[in-house]
Amino acid sequence: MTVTLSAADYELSTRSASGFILKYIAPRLEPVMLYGPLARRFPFTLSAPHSDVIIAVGHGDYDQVNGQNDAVILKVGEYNDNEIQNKVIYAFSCLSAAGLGPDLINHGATAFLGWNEDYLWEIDESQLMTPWRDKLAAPCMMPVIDGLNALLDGKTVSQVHQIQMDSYDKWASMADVNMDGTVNETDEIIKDLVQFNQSNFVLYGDPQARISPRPPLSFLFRHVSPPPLLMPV
Amino acid sequence: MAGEYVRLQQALAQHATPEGRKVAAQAMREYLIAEGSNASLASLGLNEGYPNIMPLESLPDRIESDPEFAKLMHSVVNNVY
Repeated sequence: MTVTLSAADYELSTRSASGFILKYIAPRLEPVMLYGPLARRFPFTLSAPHSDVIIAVGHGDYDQVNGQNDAVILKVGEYNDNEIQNKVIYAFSCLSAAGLGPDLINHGATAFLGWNEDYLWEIDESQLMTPWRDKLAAPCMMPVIDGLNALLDGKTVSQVHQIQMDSYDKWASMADVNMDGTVNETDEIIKDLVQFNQSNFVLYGDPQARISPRPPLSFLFRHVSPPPLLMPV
Repeated sequence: MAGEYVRLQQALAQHATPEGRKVAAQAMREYLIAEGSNASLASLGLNEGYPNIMPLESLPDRIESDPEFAKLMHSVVNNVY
């Protein structure tokens, strides 16, 4: 079984979100990865039916989650059931849990993890080429990474949800503390954004669902970052 | 800094009226001056009424002119979910 990862990368917000996925998740996946220009509907329809998990990173709305340049990846009424049946679906986008998530469960997806409100975070635009180093984005991005790693470790989706919620708690508390341990009074908004995203993270479907575990990050990828992203956004 | 943020929270609670949004926008300006951040606010929304990337310095004007965005910021900073 493969993992289908669709990760848009064409402007600053998708660059930031997909950048963290590229650094911390992509090296755990099989070679088939729909990153950037490949995050489109047709490649997705080829890969998804053979997968046990779908990870979609891109802009979203109540009834859809998109890929590169807002190409639709999954939209209510516009997908084939064999793309989602018996699969765990993780949609890292705004709002898709409000309509698309329940629709996917009704059409045979095993479980769905996503958000029923906007996903908001602060970014440092100077980290455009190495978004995984963005310390402003990390408090809202790393809980997603912790959740996805738990999923790929073979945890149940209920455990994945709890691990991610715990990670939000951890990062919200860390937003008050500088690297040197002094209290940071400048990050009230970051802390509130972490808690806002946490409050809207939901799980639908079978809470005991799990996928077959994938190998952990290799020693190489734990210590060597991807090359800078040179694609323009 | 904490004082400016408390004032921002209180002001955004009055987001429902144009006058309230004007006060909230001013409170946001004062908070951002105190904070001194040059970050941007990002979102993964589609067809939202606001841009996916907004420099924090543009938030006060958006709060003043966009009731839906003011409501969203109220939800965020006052933990109203």
